[in-house]
Amino acid sequence: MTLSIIVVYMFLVIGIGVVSNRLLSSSGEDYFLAARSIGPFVLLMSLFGTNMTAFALLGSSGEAYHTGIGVFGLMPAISGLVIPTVFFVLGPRAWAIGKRHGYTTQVEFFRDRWGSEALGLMLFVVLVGLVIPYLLIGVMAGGVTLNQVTAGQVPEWVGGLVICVVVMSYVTIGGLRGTAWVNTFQTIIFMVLGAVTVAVVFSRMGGVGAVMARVAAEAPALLAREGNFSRIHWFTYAFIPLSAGMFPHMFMHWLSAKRADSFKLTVQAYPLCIALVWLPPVLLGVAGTLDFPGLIGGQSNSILVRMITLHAPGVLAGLLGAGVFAAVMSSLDSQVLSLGTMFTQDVVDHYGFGDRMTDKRRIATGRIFVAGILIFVYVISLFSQRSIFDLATWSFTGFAALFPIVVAALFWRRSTKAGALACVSTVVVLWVYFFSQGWGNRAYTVGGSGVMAVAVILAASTIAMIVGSLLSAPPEAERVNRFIAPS
Amino acid sequence: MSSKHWIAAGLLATMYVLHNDWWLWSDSRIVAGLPIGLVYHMTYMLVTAGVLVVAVRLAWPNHLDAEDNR
Repeated sequence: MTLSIIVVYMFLVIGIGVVSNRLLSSSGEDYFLAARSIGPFVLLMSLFGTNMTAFALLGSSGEAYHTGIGVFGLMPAISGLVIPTVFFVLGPRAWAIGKRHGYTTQVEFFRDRWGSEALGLMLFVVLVGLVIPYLLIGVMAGGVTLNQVTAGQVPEWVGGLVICVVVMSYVTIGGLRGTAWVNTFQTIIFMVLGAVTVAVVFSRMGGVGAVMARVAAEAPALLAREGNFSRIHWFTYAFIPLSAGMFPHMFMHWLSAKRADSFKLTVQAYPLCIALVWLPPVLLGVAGTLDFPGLIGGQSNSILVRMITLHAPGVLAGLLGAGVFAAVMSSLDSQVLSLGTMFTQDVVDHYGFGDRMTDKRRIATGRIFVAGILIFVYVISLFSQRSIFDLATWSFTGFAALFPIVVAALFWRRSTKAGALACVSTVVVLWVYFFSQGWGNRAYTVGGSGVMAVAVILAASTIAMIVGSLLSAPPEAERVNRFIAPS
Repeated sequence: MSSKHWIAAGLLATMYVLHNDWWLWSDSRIVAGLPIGLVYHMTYMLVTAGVLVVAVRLAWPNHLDAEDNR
């Protein structure tokens, strides 16, 4: 029964991709940006769904299992402020410039902003590199979920493979319009199922109050933050959600909006949506310490699914499995599409390979690139034992540290390509350094001080942007005027 | 920036400060069936949504759609 529900769900998702394909014109702009026609509700659902990943469901419950309810304040609470603020300040402005000049990807936007080929190429490599761990957590989550809801009958490698094949199918068929529609459908699915699931599980455990009273008696440390987080860790973790300003898939969704006003609903409703999605997994992760004590490290990735299969097997487990798949796929699809788009636009077209190609052939090259990346990620997922929360945090650290680039592009007339190159180079060097230092240590902070690596890298990349710009010649006013109106 | 923009920025900055609820750091009391730290941050997110509604009214870049229509 559980497996049947998931299989039906997969076909449903592919079906939505097929229907949206019927409405798709053959132009590249429709495939990549849904002809810039996305209205407020679908924009909210697709931006939100894209940002809610395995990190939000499996990662958060796994982390709450180890560190308690503080996870809710650590990530969703501050994300509910920072991410909509980023959308508010940057989204409509990037959309307006993108529409005016016909941009499709971040890379062409920044390359044109500072007139630098080197910057474009460097950003392409860095952005693709940082998306890979993000893709990895989705593929891993697919494997864990299918394995747990079928009580181990389906091995993890099958779940990861299914996720890759289904996402590749509907992205290939439907482009960004299909992805936005599927995301809307999937976001509603995982929000509703999350609420239903937590209600059913807690009612079968005797109610939330009774469960929390048991946790207070058996593991009281999980109900406070003392001992689980340091204050400086808490404070510096707040930089992580700035990553939303530099995700390539998020940027593409910004450009797909119909109007600047379309962003308003997203900005206003985002904190409520994120609270709705994160609360059930955090509560279930904490409650999971009662039923499944002693899980170590990445083993807790599966705590959410274990709780469901223990307390609500059968139909609900199947629906929840579908909900987790929905969350995972609604992010993977946009990431996959953005990688394919960047490859098509920023490599194939930009370097002249696409001159003799039809639109369909250009799109096909993007798909081949994406298939290669997915195969690479899938193979890594077969060997990775890392915590989903941990992997995502490293990916977000890199994107957040690139944040000065987008701020300078939109607001700082004096910024130069030297500054932008210095900023990206600083991020690459420091990210690699800190990642190697933190390898295998899920509680890694800089020198054990509690300071998250993101704070140090972001501070350094900001300084590099400013110093690099001020030490180089001012940019041409004509180029700057295309992005920032003269005051 | 106009005074409305400053008010919006001030409200958002205040929310950022309020996220750091050091006074509840070691408190594991249960309030309304939930740990107090969790209740605080659920309330915080509701207030954040309200603040963003106000900020959008005060400081939305309306000129962008006007320029696009021209």
